Amino acid sequence: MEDQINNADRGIESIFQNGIDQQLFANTIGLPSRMYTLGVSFYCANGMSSWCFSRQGELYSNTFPSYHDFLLFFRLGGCLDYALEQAGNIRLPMLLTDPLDLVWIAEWAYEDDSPFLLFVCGPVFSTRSSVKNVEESLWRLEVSQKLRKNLIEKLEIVPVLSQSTIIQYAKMLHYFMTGMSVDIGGIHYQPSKSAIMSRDEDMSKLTDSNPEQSRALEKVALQMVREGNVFGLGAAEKLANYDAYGTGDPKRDGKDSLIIFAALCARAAMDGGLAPKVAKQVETHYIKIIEKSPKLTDLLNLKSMILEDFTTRVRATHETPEISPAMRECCTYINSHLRDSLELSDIARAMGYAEYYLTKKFYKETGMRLADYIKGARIEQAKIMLMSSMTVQAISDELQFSSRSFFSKVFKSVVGMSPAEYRAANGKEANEE
Amino acid sequence: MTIKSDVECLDFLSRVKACRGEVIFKSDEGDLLNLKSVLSQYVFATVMERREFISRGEIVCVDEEDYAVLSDFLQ
Repeated sequence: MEDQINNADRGIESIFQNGIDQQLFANTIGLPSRMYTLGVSFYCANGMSSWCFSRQGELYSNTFPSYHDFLLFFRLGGCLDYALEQAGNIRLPMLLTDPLDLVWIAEWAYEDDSPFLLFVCGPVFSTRSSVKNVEESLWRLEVSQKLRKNLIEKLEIVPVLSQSTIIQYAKMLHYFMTGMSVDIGGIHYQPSKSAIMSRDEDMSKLTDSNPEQSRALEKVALQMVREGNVFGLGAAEKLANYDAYGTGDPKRDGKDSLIIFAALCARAAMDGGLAPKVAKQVETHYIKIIEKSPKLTDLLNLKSMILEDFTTRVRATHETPEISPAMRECCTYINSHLRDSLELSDIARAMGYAEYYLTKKFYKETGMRLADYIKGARIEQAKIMLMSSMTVQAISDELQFSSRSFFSKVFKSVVGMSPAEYRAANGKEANEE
Repeated sequence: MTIKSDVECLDFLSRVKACRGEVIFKSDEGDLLNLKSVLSQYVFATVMERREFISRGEIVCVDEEDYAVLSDFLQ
């Protein structure tokens, strides 16, 4: 022991006096000690952990607090398999990246020209947006907040280092491993896998990389709105692919895209004869819903609804010219205030009519009692909200029903099924039933 | 079908890759994980240690023949 310390002392003294002698460096401080020193240094500096694997990929040691999950990620992402395949082939540091964009620095240690120990540092993220990207991707999965949080909390403890720092650490690893320098060009990169954002199949349904095709489809959709062509809606929904605008925030891109789409539909509806004031109010109504939507998949559903709503309104304008602009405005007012109590006195005041005159005029022109129209409009809105992850109780409260059971009763009387059944029939699992 | 209690996560997911159709893990809390999706695999891996949660869930294979592929892992 004393000899080892003396040798180490002489080695360090020699380094200070004569610069680094590779042989001396390698001989005086054994590989395990060097790796241990490096691992502790990385951990102290940035919380980056170190791992040692055998030639067969068994874990010898690690310094990661919750190593089990990250060992699983290292294997699940194919990084360990890739590193094992490089044993004997690559004598340089490797940068390994998994589908979540977790980065590991790895290098094989050789003894008698045979690889015997895989030293790995990591994981780290190379950008702060990596966890956010994963979080955004998770919104597209049909999983509870608990499961999303479970993964995100694990990723949040991963240190974030700049690309240049990661490269410096890779160079340090190589030096500690071999006593030799390596330049940036010598670092080996695992062949790139597409990031999870683009490889996940859910995303492919949401994006369309062909702008010319998107433009053509958009023209078809807007023409349908202009003509009030409700018969083409089924086809339009298939055509209406999603445009991402590339701010790096998929949800923001999705919302911006849909807001633009709503505005274009509103303009097309005005061209088709819908009162500008009504078109604008409908557009505003949808923009509010878009902004409140938590999921990208909700936005997809909304796109179809916006298209259908404007088209149907234009159609109604063509079919029911006997309904006066004032009563159309009344309908729009109601649809824009479904979350309010919608007292008759409020509606009459907003329209500038006496209550009695308003109810009589509304019935005469539409053949429907005002209260029935409000009930129907609330149920239509509830259908939209049931496509989101809101609970039935929350929807009932939001739409001013006195209780959840009353809401369910009214919903069933209009739609023919309970809110939970409607949600299940439309591909959403009920949250609380 | 449910997942056996002693199943090793990576072995199971590796076998899922060999399935022809989609393989869905459906939890009793309403979560749906398409185990052919990379991101879903990570989510699944993080909950795999919660054996009770996994055992209460159900595996649904879109292609009936895939149940035979996964038979070693299901009960």
